[in-house]
Amino acid sequence: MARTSEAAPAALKRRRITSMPRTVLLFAVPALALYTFVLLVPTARGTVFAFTNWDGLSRTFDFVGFNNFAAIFANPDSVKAIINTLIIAFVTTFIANAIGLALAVALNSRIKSRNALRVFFFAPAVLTPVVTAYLFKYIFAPLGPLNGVLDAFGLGVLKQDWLGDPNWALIAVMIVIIWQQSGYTMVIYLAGLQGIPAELLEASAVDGAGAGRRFWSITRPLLAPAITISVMLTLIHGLKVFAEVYVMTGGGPGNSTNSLSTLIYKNAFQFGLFGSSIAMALILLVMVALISAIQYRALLAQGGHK
Amino acid sequence: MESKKAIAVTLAALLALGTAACSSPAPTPAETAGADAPLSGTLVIGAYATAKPALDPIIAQFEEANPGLTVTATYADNQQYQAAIRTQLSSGTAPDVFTVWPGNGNPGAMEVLAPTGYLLDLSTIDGLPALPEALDSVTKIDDKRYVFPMTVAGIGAVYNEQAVEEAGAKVPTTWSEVLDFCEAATDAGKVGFSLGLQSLFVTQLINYSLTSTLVYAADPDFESKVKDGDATFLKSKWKKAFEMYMDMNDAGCFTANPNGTTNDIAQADLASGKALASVTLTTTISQIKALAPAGTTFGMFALPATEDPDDTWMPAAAFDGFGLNAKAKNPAAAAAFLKYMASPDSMASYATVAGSLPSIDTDKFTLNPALAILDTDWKAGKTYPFPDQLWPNPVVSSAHKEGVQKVFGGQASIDDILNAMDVAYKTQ
Repeated sequence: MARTSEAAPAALKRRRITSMPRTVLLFAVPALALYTFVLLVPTARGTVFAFTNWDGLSRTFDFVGFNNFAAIFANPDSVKAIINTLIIAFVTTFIANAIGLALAVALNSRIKSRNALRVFFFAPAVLTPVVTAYLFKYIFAPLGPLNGVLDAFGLGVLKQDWLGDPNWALIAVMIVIIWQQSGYTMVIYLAGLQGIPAELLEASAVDGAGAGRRFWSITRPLLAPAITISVMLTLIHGLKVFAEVYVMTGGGPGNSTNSLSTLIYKNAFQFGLFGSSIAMALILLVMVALISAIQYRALLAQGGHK
Repeated sequence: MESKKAIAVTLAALLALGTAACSSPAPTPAETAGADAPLSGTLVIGAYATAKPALDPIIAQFEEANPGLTVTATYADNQQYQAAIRTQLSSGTAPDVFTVWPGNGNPGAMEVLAPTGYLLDLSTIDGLPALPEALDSVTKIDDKRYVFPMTVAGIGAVYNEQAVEEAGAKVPTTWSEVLDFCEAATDAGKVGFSLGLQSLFVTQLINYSLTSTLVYAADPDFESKVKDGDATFLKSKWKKAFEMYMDMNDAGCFTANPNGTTNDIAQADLASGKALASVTLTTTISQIKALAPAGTTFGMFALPATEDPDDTWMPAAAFDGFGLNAKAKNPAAAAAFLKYMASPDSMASYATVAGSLPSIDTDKFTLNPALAILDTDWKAGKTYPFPDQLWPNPVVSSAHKEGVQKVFGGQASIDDILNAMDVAYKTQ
């Protein structure tokens, strides 16, 4: 008995170590199986359909090689949608992060009412994009509140057909995305700023560093992980943008604001061109993966953390 | 070993779940037998949202007449409905009775759904009343009827009678009078025709109105000529119609900034009298009335395109179409419901609520005075289906609708758009 009890702890330890990977695997099986069935298998099947002329309904289809991809790049409306997607992604990422960072730095101070202001600026991020888009569709109407306010302040010359003029419609859509994303990035930056030790900033102030110098040499490098995640999330949101465009303009006027996502929806569900729309979805997937990877590596090189 | 067994069991369970979710009971045509027996079980109906006010009362009456049956109806906006019905059909979960658009032109249309075998041939249902021959081209394929339209809807210029009178305008019967009508409206500080091009379906209505006279009345075989490659949109009177559309814009006929204006705003302007008229679907008259101050009355005229009033045709089409699922879970109830909908009482009540004419003439129907011109022209054969119902794919219609926005926005010329429509026509 005594021998058994002495030997037990060592055996138990050995068993724990050797059985660890299997146990982990066992726990991971349901999630991995679901992930495989829900994501990997449909994605792989979808990839096959990108090379067919399937209409989403028929039981038969033909393989058409790379015709769907060739047609996408030959169609000016698809190319326009790709360009719009990139413009939306980069412009909204840059401006929303700049505004979010500025708000976070401002609201990280000890000003009174900072909590109320944080809620105020974060509130748009809580709204669903569909609600926001309907709200701004009303605000941007030709006789809507925005033009009304401009008129009231004697700035009638600045009035625009915001959503009806192809030169302004994309800008109007981006304004809404920036308005919503800025609060979101602000919260990420606030969390990052609150992790920066106050002593460091105080020490540098004692050493004579000004506010700009303190931000650039201390806050910015220590904020790098927050910048990495915030830029990546807003960039991905911009690349996948759908609701704002669909609700505010429907991709119009005359295709001028279509993003890849709205064009994918239109091709699949309005035209029944599933093969073509899956090909577009693949292009979007590659775009998101490539751009995200590039910006992630670029930011890591600047001092961001994994 | 135990962990391997657990993995295998988990995978097997997931596979079984997946298989169960993907399969569906296979109904057989034999299930239609016994149609005279009391109906039981559940009947599932799917329709687009605008059908709800007209369809719900009929469903309630049908349920009352068949106490053993439960009817479940779901509604969705057009685009969501079209996406959903295709998925439901291909996965075997489609409703027993559902909206099918007559003709072609969208993913939920008869010409798209019937060739896949998902629609029941309605000719096999005994006791379904005959439809007018004029509707055959958009309800039949190879002599088999796949869609039963409840109504005939038209596109015309609905006008606010009080606003027209106040502006001292005259209801136009010729093209030059249309421009005079706009001038009178402008002089009175009002809009001649409210126009909300941001709502995409609105973009096509004026071109359909003008081409029904200029193109299709002048050459009823035009569509088959385009199909055979003997005619094109670009080299037809479609170009003249499009130019006249822009002439109306240049003459100040329309709402300012129509590309940024929604149809809701355009309708509200007509209802309030800020606009004298609006070219719209007859089905929207009841919505416009609901927005108008009490006592406002509305009339409708066919939009003239020439100087001879007798030339004028208007677009009128089979509308509010329903089809039966070829693999309906309750085929007997589905057939019985369609026959119930096709009864004179149901047809009249549906058309009254929908703001259209019943597809089968019945003395149970009381004509709304605003629809008088549609009734007259329909009976006189001076109407042509909505062109997109006859086009071979939805891309042609999309090229047209987005094209109108582009021309209004200065992004493209009329020739560009007509050429894009010709290309789209030949694409599939």
